Amino acid sequence: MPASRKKTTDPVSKDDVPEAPKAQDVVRNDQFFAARVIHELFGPFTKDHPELWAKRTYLMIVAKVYEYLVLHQDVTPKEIVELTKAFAESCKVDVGEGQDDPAKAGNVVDCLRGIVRQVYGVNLHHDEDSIAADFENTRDGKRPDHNTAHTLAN
Amino acid sequence: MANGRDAQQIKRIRNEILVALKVLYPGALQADPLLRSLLMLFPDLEFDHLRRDLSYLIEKKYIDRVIPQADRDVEANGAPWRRRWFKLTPAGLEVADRCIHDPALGE
Repeated sequence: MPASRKKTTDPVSKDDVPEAPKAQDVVRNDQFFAARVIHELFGPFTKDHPELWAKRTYLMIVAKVYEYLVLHQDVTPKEIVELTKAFAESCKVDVGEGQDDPAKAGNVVDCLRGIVRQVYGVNLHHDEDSIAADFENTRDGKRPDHNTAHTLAN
Repeated sequence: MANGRDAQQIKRIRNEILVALKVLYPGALQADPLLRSLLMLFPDLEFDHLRRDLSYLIEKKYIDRVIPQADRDVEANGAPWRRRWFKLTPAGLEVADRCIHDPALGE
């Protein structure tokens, strides 16, 4: 078969086939997405409370968000609820020790509840069974796509 | 060559550590999820290599160990490496953001 004829009968030329994304691009994309979510959700929140970055429970909550968005690790509602409760307790301890005023600590915990609800679709005011149902309904078997970062953050 | 790794791979891994921590800045990440994050790119990476690279980056003052308040009395310096928290320093952030160039980490 002449070379020129063979060229015209190729159903799809090599140039038309998009290359599979490299592993580094995929990871970088997820990291970029996580950075936006973390910056937009936690950035303004911690601006007024820089001391939070030294709280273990707080670090763990942010790390769970990273694991969920970048490492694609499932985070159970129970885990996030327990962490947030532990975080709330540690804020109360700080109030008891006079390191913080009650209104400020209450505000911190309320803000965190809002953030957790935005990221995971989990309402911490419900009991644990309804939390699990909320979580499953919200996720619907899918992770948020990258275009929802802004929506998540607002 | 260091511990079976070539210079190019060492640079790439150290850069990836900085990028992963940049995502959370000014927050911190434990060594264990950091390792899992790197394993997606470097499936052969061993924890001993990561520990060596973390030590190097600490001595370069690009990253710092973070000891949460609750851990300070209990396990301050004795925590296993996998459970230690690390964060970028301002100098580390500058390198991660490519505001400054470090030939030891450059491509």
